[in-house]
Amino acid sequence: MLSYAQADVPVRGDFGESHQRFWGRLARPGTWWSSAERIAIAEEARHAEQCALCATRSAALSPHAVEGRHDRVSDLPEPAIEAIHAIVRYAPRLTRRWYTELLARGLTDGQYVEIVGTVVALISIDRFCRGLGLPLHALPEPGDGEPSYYRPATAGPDEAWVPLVPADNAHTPEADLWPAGVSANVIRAMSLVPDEVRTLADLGAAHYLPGHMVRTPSASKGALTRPQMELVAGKVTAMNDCFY
Amino acid sequence: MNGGVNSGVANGEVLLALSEALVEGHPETIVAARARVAREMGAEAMVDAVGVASNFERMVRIADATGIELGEFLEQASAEVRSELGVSRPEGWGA
Repeated sequence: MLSYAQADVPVRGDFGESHQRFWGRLARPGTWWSSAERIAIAEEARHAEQCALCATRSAALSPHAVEGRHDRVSDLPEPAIEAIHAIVRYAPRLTRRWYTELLARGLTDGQYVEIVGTVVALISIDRFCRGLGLPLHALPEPGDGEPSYYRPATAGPDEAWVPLVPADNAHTPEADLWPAGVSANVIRAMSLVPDEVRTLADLGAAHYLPGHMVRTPSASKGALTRPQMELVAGKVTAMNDCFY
Repeated sequence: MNGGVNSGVANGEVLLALSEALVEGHPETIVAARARVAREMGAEAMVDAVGVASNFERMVRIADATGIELGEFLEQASAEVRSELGVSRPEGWGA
């Protein structure tokens, strides 16, 4: 059971609870990847921090012009390795062409979105641990079973490289993902794999704010005021060169 | 976002220093910045700040990895500030 009880500072229970729920997802098959593959994605994401090719590409004027092979620790297909490492190490440099080339090399859009969801959830948990000076949590043992291969019937071309579920999701199996007709693209971004949006909401509620509170300027949570929260958010975003 | 400019936010300087340390990832710097926030704002605020920072390490990668556009609301709401700051998409982003 994942816990922060041993931390030398008090850590709100919802952090550990949401992190445990994601760890539980890793130990189960996903939508397009088995549990073993999902854990391999997590292992690769952690290993990407030491990848020599990633270091070279991150520093290059044009990362996509730097050829080479990533330092890898799994048997995942090569396009998956490329996706994982790039998302971890040089996400602001990604382009539509880079994404479409991954698809041409055999990665499906669903597989890619599930990689995105797995990697970013892991990063937020690992960076939380690092920020508190705590060891990274051991990854779980993989569970049995097959992926669901679920694809929302309404997902299609939209304001992104990847297919999205429309903002108006009323009366669909995706109705729980956001209030019908009211959603920012960053919430819809992973909706091709709905469980990634559910994990996003769960982790976001613990780390930041529950979704329904975000658009209320005065809303805050915990010991920080909203301006303080947004100052931290803005600094992190700016340092990561994120245009959105 | 420049640490030399007064953000106007209470405890802004120490929060910016912690945020910068967390993104840059050097353990010694993180330890010092974290201790300073805990000392000046309390341990709970320090944990919450680490929580927010790690949240946005997730959010920026979602946006960058999926190529999402701003959308009508954000496009309009941010037009003036984007123009003032000279913020634009990286070259080749949508190609």
